[in-house]
Amino acid sequence: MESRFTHFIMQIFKVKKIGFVFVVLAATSLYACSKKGEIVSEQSDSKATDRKEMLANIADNIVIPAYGKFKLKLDVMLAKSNAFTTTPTINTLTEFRTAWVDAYTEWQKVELFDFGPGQEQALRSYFNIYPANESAIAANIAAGSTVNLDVPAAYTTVGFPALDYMINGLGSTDQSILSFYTTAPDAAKRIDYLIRITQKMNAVFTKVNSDWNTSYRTEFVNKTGIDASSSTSVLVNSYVLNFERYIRSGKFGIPSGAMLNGVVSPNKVEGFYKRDISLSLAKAAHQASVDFFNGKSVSTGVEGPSLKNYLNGLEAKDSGTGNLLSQIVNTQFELVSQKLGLLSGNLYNEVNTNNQAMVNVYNEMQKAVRLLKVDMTSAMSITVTYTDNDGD
Amino acid sequence: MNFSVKSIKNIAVVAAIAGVFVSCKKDKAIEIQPGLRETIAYSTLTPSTPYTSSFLDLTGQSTVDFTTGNTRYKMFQSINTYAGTGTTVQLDAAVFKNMFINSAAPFTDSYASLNGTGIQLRNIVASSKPTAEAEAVRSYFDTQFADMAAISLSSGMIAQKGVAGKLGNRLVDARGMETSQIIQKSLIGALQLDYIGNVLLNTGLTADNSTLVSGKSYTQLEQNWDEAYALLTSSPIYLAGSTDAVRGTAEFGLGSYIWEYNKANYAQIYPAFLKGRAAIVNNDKAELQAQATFIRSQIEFAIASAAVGYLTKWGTRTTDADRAHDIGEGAGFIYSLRFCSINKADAAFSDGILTTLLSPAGGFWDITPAKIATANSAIRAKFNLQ
Repeated sequence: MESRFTHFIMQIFKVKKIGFVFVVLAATSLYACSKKGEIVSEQSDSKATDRKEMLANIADNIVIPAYGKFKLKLDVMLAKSNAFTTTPTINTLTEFRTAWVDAYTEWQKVELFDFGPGQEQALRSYFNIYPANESAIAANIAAGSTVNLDVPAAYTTVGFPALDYMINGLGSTDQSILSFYTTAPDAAKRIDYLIRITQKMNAVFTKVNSDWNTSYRTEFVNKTGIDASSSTSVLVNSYVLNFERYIRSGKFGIPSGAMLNGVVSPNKVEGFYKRDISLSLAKAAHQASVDFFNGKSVSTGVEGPSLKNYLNGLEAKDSGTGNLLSQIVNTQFELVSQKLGLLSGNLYNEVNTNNQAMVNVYNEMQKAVRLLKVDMTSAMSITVTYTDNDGD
Repeated sequence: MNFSVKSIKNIAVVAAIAGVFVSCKKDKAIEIQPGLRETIAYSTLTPSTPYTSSFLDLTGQSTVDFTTGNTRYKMFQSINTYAGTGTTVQLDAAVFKNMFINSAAPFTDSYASLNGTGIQLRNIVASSKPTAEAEAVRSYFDTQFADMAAISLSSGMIAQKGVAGKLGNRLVDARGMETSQIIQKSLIGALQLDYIGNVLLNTGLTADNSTLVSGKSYTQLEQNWDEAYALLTSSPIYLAGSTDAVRGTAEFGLGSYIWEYNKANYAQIYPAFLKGRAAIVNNDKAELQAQATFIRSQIEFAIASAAVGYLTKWGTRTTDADRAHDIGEGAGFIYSLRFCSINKADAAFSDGILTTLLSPAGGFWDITPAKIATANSAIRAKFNLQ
């Protein structure tokens, strides 16, 4: 009890301390919504109950059912992959591709859960690091089962991007792609590799899903503090990191060159070999972030306790306009959606012919990043842990 | 004042006996204890109470002397600075070793005043440990220094598995280990934590507090406490003006990582040093012990959290250079865990984690998320981290 009490006292102390930091940060930053004034937040003594409700909603109505839905799509894809590797034909290839698109799209709705088991098992690293490394994949196929696919060097040779290359990118026609699995001298090795990387996806995801459905849910809901290891801290950090690095940068900032002095890299779009799904993947990922922020149940569509509610409970608002920070965030999300709506489905083409529209998406997303990473984390007294701030 | 384990033991008996007499004379409102100091009311101490000018003898002279602690602190900085130049300059293992034992005037520029002081690092590194183990730790640093000098020859190479060289601006050995980080983070444990936590604030608390050290204004116990503070920081008020987001003072080594990885309690470290120091003046053994234990526990928490923090960061990185940096820092902190005696971590614990993490021979290059998770859970369990 004594340590719990001490902890409680520290919470109060921290809250006050951060409140000050927050005002300074807000005052010194160019505020993204370009309205005058500062975001001010007044925190009550303890919001642990609010956080617990938020965590429970996130676990029970978002993460666990979203993983459940993804599992359905992944299982279909694995079955279709199995059918293809057993009997490679145009028909089994086509069905495999369809299932791959479905699973890849559903993946966008779970990639943001990079905390707890997902983080520990490096789910994203094994599922969606792109662009795929063609030469490394070829080397892995040639080397066979001795290659270690667990190390970071293998991240770009496995997962959805590697599958994209292997079922969409090996040749210019379906027939020529199929020949890599039928008549090519190393067809058997290529089939083995396909089996190996799909089995790896299954193994990693099964562990994550299983942990959530057994022990981790309780642990997650009960770590109600705001210290660096608390659930609120890890989920906020991973949520913001996902939006910043894997939606803003990965899907738009890098391909459009917005983050590299305008040097475009159309070959770095997501789903590069399939091409026409890149926008729909991005939209799915963005919408998943919006829904997560608002606590929307993936089963019923009903909103529950969320980052939005929590911010409202903290009364985080723009002192000039009186607008709630959560409203400002949602307005910015809507602006992103509008810019996404101006793109056509093939982002490879968009980079080459309509790149300013790509950059525009990036710019609106950057404003959202600022709101989430600076204003939201400050209002919540959450330390951003994913930047290296020791300077050495 | 050089302070070996043996000498502490020798005076322990004397100090313990002295302590008995001292404690008989306690409860007067204002008293001279033991004929040296005026009692300090704990309630007068605040987080901004200055250290050096608050502990005076009856003539008004400060009894605080940070010379020895700060000297070693700067020696650690000097070694770290020298190691950091390895990306551009060819380093000499002999210079490292001379800095370690303060021989042959190895310190230059702003550190030159450290030469010839008769104070060194090597003989206090791991000095809480039995002789054989302490020597093994000191030899470990000799090996790291030699490795650092060797890889500085490869600064023109691009590192890859089995090849020393640079990853980004990080200089790593053939196993991908950033030796400069290994040295710094290992010294945080072997030098700072061990000497502060396991010697000065542990066995050192039994030192004499009834007579002045010859020619000095302080008792040995007072000096032990002050030396601990001065080996942690060179700031007059440790972390003054700090917030969770911005550190308010220039800190190095352990002092900076307490701020970074113990957000809950970093602001309580300085007050604990003040209160413990007042407890020495008051001959209040119970309070002294309480503050020492608090400080030691918080240091151990920070080091364990830093180890977990860097291992976790490895998983969020997108480049080998960043990942290698995290592993260099993390491995050094894991090495330092062996000095976390309050949490009963030892060499077997540290080495077991390092072996699992860095085997087989590829070291950094063969690390997987599963190995990281194993190391993390072992540390979390041992230190009861959430």
